[in-house]
Amino acid sequence: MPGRFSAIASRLDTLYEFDREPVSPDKLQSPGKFMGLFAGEHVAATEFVIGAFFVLHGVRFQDLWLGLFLGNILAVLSWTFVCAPIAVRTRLTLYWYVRKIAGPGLSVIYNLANAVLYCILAGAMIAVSATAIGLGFGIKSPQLTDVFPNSVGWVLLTLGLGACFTLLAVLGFEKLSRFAQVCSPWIFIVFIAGALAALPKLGVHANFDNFLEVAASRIWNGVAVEGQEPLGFAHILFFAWFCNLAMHIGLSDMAVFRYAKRWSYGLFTALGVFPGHMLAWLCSGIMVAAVGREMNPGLMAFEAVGLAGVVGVVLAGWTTANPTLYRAGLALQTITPGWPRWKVTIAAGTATTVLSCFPIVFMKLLDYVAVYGLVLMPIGAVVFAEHWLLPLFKIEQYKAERHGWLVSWRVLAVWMGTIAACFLLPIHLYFKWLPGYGIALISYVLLQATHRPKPERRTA
Amino acid sequence: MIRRLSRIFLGASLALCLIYPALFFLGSMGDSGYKRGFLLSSIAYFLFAIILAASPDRKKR
Repeated sequence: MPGRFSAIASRLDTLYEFDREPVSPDKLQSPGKFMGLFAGEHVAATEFVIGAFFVLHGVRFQDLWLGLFLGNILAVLSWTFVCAPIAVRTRLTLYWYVRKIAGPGLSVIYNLANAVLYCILAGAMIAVSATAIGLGFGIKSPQLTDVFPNSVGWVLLTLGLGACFTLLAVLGFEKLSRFAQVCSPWIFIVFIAGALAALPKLGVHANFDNFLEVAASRIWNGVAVEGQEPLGFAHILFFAWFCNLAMHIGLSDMAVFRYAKRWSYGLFTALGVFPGHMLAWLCSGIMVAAVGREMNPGLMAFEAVGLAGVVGVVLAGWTTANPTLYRAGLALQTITPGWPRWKVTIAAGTATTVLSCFPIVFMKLLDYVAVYGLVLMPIGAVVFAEHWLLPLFKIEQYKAERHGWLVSWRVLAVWMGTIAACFLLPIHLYFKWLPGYGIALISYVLLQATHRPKPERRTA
Repeated sequence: MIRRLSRIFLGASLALCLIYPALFFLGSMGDSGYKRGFLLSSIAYFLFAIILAASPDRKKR
């Protein structure tokens, strides 16, 4: 039996994917792979929740579409001009690059924070999928204000789903990309079909002549549900921009773009964000309005599309939780050097599954997304400054690696200081990251500039 | 040949997934008929996707 187990383990070990060293040229992926990956990633289970929350937060139609359009353009530009160029030049994951810049000690702290945040996000995906499966078993979905699980059935359901998602995440990047490629067009159609089918229930005529009137009066009517904070144009623009902040400005997607042949592959993210973070959010808004503004993604999809809608919600959660768990596995791998990838992914999946039992992970999703980006953003700013600005000002790079520091206290000070400064800024949570990014960039360059080594005197 | 046919049917089944809700929206089809049609088209989509994935790709050989 132990021999059999070790044979399985060694087979799983072959899934090792150059995580710890720069990607070799023969491992670079085609544009098609990137298109499939991004399309699968941004048409996710959480889109059922986010789009619906905009309705519950009383966003007006005009503010919503314009805010989403501009915010998504800013997000694509952030991927293309901030994240992808650094990934293509280094061919490293962010985690290993941070290790060079900030030292292995800080890399451990950062990776742990990263893994926990990823796990919470993947937990939200599992919880959303659970609302769909729960319909079939008569398990009541949690309410808007619920923090803890409301039934044993809900706990068992999320644990079962989490175990399935984790097993699939163990299979690795290539297979996930292939699976997402198959599922993503169909999941997107589920959103479109759901919205189309819900429109007649809301009173939209077959010739669309009263769509704008219905949208403004019965869907995005500017009236927030009790207990939900009203949101406007600026909130939406910033939300669309920062909802993947950790991935673009925070540079987490270096893990993906290190496989890109060119930095311009960053533009492929538009294929994901516009369908996923614009059309799908508009569609889920229509679906939630059609079920009387009840926050239950499974019910929304079931009412609009029937049994296929339920499957759509589950698959949407599955295809997005998988790359998220993969990233969490990458993040954890640096702190468990002796562990193979499959073991690390199972550890991340177990933590995620436990978190998914708590409904707060998806009932407070909008605020969580903001906090998630805010916490990781300063490290993205430090890496950006280290990569581009320090050579520009002729300041020594990769000091931690060269001097063998365990922790770069300057990076740690900038990271914690920026988070503290953002916390104190007297502006809405959604707007805090932008001044925070500026604070992190300037303070890191200044700190590095003030500790320059003295130039050695030349001797003849 | 199998791959090419699977691709065609894959696209066709995805198109059907859009056509059924469109017909329901236009009032040409009832709620249960639309949902049944969407479900069957979806099953067909995944069936052809599996066939496509399982059939050998000559270019890759």
